Amino acid sequence: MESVYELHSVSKFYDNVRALDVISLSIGTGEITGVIGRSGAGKTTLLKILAGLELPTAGKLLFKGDEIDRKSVRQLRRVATILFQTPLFLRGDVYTNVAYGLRIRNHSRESIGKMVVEALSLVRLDGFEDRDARRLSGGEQQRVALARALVLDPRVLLLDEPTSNLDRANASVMTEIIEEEGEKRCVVIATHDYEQIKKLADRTIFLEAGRIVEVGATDSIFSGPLLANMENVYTGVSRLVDGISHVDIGNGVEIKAAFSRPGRVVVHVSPEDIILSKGWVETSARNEFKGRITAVEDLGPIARLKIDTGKSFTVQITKRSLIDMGLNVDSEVYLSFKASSVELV
Amino acid sequence: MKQRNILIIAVVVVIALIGTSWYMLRPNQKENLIVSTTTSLYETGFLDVLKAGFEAKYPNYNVSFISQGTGLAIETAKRGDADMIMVHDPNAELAFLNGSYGVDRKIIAYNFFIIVGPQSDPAGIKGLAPLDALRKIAAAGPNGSALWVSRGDNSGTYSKEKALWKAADLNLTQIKGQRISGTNNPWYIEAGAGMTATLQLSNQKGAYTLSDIASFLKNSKEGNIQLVNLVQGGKEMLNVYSAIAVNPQKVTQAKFETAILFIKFLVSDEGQNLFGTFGAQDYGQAVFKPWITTYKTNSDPTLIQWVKEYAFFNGTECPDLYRYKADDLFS
Amino acid sequence: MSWQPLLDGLREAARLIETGDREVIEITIRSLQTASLGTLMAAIVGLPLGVLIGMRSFRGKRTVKIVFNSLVGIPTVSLGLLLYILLSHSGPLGFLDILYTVPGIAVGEAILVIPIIVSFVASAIESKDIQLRDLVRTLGASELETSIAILREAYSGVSLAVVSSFNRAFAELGIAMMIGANIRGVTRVLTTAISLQSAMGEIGLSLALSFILIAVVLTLNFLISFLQRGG
Repeated sequence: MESVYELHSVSKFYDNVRALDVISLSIGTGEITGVIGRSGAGKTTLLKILAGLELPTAGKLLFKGDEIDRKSVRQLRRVATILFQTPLFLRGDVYTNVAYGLRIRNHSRESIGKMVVEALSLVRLDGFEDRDARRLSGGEQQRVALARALVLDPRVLLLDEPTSNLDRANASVMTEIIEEEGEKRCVVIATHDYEQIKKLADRTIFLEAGRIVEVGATDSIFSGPLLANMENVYTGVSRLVDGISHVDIGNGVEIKAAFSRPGRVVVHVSPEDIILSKGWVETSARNEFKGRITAVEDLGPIARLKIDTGKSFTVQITKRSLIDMGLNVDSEVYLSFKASSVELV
Repeated sequence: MKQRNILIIAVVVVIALIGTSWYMLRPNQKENLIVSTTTSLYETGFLDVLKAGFEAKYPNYNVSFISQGTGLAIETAKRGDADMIMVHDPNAELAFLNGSYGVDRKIIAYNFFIIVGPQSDPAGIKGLAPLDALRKIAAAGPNGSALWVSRGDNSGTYSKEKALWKAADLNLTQIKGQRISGTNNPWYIEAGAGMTATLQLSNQKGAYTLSDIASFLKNSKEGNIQLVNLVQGGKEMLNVYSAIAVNPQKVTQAKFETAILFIKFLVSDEGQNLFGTFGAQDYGQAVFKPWITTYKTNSDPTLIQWVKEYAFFNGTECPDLYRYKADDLFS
Repeated sequence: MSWQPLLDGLREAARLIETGDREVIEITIRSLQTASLGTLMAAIVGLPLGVLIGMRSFRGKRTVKIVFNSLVGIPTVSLGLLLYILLSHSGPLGFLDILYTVPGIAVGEAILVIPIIVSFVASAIESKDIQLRDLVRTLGASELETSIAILREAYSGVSLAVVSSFNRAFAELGIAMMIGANIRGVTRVLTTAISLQSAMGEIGLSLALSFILIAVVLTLNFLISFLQRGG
C-alpha cells in the first residue's frame, strides 16, 4: 500500500484559532480512510488541506513524495477533489455542472459528452443531463455532485459528510457507489454515519479539537472507548436476563437486546427502527421509553428528531407523521423499538 | 438563445467601436482650428455663420469654437488648448499681448452695450446718459426700488460693467455690500453666468442689467425676456471685438498658419459682409458692425475716433512688437 | 399656462424624431459612442479589479471598498475639471492630444464609471457563497478560471454594473463639457447640447433634446432587459 499523503507536524490556524494540529499521519491508496469526530473537531479543515484548498499554517504536507506549497498546490487540486456536505451548483443544467471540470481541462466536446453520460450512469442518474441541477432532490443533487467529481477520475476523492443530509435510501446508494470507487483511488471520508463508516472504511482517524486522538483499523476504534457523537451508539454494561442482554447505558436507561453477550458492550439502534407515540402503547416491542424532543431536523420528506430519555436517541420519521402527530421541540413522546433492532458493535 | 444574446451585444459593441474609430479618423483629414471666444458671440448663433462661411471657402479646414467668456478664453489660449481668441476686452487683450501669448491682433467688429430693465423703469433711467443712469440706479437700489444683475464672471461684459461703475465714481465693492433697507438681501445681484442666463435672471427679477445688443435682441425676439432697452449709445458703451492669434513662439502647439488664415478671412470683404448681414433679417439691424468696412469707408468718423481711443494701443490696433509673420494683415 | 413649455418640448421632440433631424441624430450617435466606448474601457479595467477585491481578503479591504463606493458619486464637473487640467496641452498628459475629442470624452467617462463597476462587481461577488470558490477550485480551476466562473455566477450583479455605468456615462454633462467643450460637429453630445440650448434660451429645443435623451435611455434599458430575459 503506497503512501499518497504524508503529514508532518501539520497545523492550521484561522486567525489565531487552532483548527488542526496533526502530528503526523500517512494516508495510502487502495484503502478508504474514515475520519470521525464531533462538529468542529477539524474534519473539514483536514479534508480541505488534503484537497489543496488550504495550505497548512505550519508543517509539511507531502503528496506522493512531493511537498505541497503555494506553487504545487494547484497541481494537487487537479488530481484531488472534495465533495461537500451541501452540494453547490453552477448556473445551468446537470450536464454543464458535471462537464465543468472537463472543460477547463480542455477535453474535446465529444469526449466530454461521453464521459458525462458514463459518470451519470455510475451514480444511477442516467438521462439527467438536461435537468436543472438546482431543482433536483437532495439525494439526486448529491449524486450529481459525486458524478461531477468522479468524471474527473481523481487520484484522491475526499468526502465531507456526504450523506448527512440524505435519507437512508439515498445514503445507501451513495455509500455503495463510494465503496465501488474506493478500490481505484485514495478515498477519505468524514462522517457521522456509523453504518457508513463501518461499511466503507478500513482505517479510521478520530479527531478531537484538531488533534488525532486515535487512528487505526475501524473495528478497533469502535471496540475501544466510545464516541458519543456517533448517532445512537451507546456503551454500556450488559447483564443477561433470561438469556437476553439487558444493557445499562447510563442515566437510568436500560436497553433490551436480542443478543446475549455479557459484560462491556457497544450497541447501536438505527434511527428508522425507532417508533414514536404520543402515549404509552402496549406493543410487542421490548423497549419503550418516555422522553422529550430536544431537536427537530427537517429533511424534506423525512425528519430526524433528537429525543432525550436520559440518553439521547435520534429517531427518523416521515414528515407526514411529524405533522399529523403535531410534534415539535419540547413535545413529550414515547419511543419504542424491538430488541432485535439493537445491534452489537 | 444565449448565443444569440451574446451575438447581438457583440454586434452592437463592434458597431459602436467602428463608428468611433471612423469618427476618430475623420477630423484628422481636415485641418483643425480651435478658437476660444466669448459667450455673447457664441450664444447668438453668429459663430455658426462664420464657421459655415469659412469652411465653404476652405473645405479642408474645420473650425471649432469654444465659448467660455473672455477671461477663460484667454486662459485656454495660454494653455495651448486654443489656436486663437476672439474677445472683447481691450485691457485683457493688451495683457495677453504683453505676456507674449498673442500676436497679430485685428479688430474685427463692434457694437454697443445697452442697459436694459423692466418696462416699468422704477429708477427712471430711460434716455439718460449711461453714467447718469448708473448713478440713479445706485441711489434707488438701497431703498428697494431698483435691482441690478451683474454677469459676475470674468467676461468682457463684466469688465465693461466694472469700468462704467468706476467712471461714474461709484464704489462697486461698497455697492456689493449694500442691503435693501429692512432686509438682508442685496440689490446688486451677481449671476455668475453667461449673457443669456443673466438676461433671463434679470427678466425674472425685474432688474436692470448691462447687455450687449446682439444677445438682447436675440432673447427678446425669442420671447425669453420682456425687458426693454433703456439706455444706449455714447462712447462709454462701445463694445469692440478683436481676434488675436496665439504666439507660436511661446505656445508651440498653436496652429499659427491656420489662425492667420482665419483672421484674414474675418477681415476680408467676405468675412466682413457676414458680420454686416447677420441679424439684419431677424432684428432689423446688423448686430455686429463690420469694423474694417467702417474704417475703410470712413462712414462714421466719430465712431472711428472712439474705437481708436478705446481699443487701440499706442495708436495702433497691434503694435509692431506684437506682429509676427503677417505683414499683409497690417497694410 | 405653465404646462405650455413642457408640451412644446414634447411636440418639438416628436418633430425632430419624425423629420430625422440630421444634427440630432449625429449628437445622439455621438452620445452613444462616448458612453459605450467609455463603459467598455471601464469594464476592461473594472471587472478584474472588482473580482480581485471581491474575492481576496487583505489588509485595508474595507477602506478600499469605502473609497470606491464614495467615488461612485463623484461630481462630474470636478472630475471633468481635473481631467481637463491633466489633458490640456500644457498639462502632464497633453501629449496624448485627446482634449476636445470623442475618445477624450470616452476616457473621461470611463474613469467616471470605473468605481461603479468595481463596487457593484465586488459586492455581487462577495454575496456569492464563498463555497462557490472552493467548489470551482476543487474541480481544478486556476485563479483566472475561478474568477471567470464566479463572474458568470454573479452575472446579474455584473450586468447591473455595466448597465448602470452606461446610463451614468450617457447622461452625464460635466465631463463631456469640460473635455469636449461642446464643439459643434466634433464633440457635441446630447447633454452638452441641452446645456447649450438652454443657455441660449431655447427652452423648447433643450426640452426636446432632454426628452430624446430619456427616450434613448429607456429604450436601451428595455432592450437589454429583453435580451437577458430571452437568454
